[in-house]
Amino acid sequence: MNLDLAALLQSLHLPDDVVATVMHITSTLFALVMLVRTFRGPIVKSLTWAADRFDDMAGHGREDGAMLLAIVDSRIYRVIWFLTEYLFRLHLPTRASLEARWKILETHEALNSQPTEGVPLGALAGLLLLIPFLFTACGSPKLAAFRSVSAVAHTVDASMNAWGDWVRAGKATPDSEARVEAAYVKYQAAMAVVKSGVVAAEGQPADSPAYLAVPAALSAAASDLIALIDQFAPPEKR
Amino acid sequence: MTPATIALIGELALKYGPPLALKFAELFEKKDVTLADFNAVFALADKSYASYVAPKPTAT
Repeated sequence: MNLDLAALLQSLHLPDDVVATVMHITSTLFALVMLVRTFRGPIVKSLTWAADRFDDMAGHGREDGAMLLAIVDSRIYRVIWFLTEYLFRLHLPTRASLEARWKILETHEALNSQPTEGVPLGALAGLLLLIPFLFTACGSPKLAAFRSVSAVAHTVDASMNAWGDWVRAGKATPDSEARVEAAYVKYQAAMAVVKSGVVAAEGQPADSPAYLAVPAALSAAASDLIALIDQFAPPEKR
Repeated sequence: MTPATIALIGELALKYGPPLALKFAELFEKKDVTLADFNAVFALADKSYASYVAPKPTAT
């Protein structure tokens, strides 16, 4: 999507601070929409679970009901807490960040359109996409890059280990194996690009901009891979 | 460690169990990283697909 909101605003000859404010608000709204979409599955699942438990508990004591409410509240608060923290800590108002968020929204639209079996498909994959944005808000670019790359690598490794168990259990079809393998190879290629970038940046200061370009493509490839594994090997059946 | 990080770690713990969540927690203890740290991470991605799905050796 060719989004050029900044150029549009500048063509209106608005003051720079007005442009920056509009960009900030717009970007924040995009981020909010993205996160609500990401966590839509867990939120709906939590509420459905709560409704079922209330039905089960009809006629039981008030203490059980109070405990249940506390559990549901804690889940919802956790999501709200995450959203609030995310929105207030990120460096939002740039054209690049807007375009990145559009891309993430489109990716999630594709993920959410895939068939699921009641699993919040894309929830973790969505988290992976958020990782570059989460971690760029803390420490030097080099440290943020390391945390991002490491978080993605460990998550993919755990997911692939789960996939390996699934395959060894004889539950994977040849087609699903071929597709996961292809996605894994694509992820490895993205990681190789990151590796060459890190090696090239070695020796530069930790706050060098060379580290800033690291993880977006990598987390997208990892997200695709994990979404595929979740599709073929639903977590609740592993 | 920010609340967002804790939330992320919590999600991972729910899905993959404590080992991965602990790995994430360790990441946030590091204050400085070297190329060797990066290489240890890259080594994870060097594992072949076949190594993940290969039969596990049985204890004798």
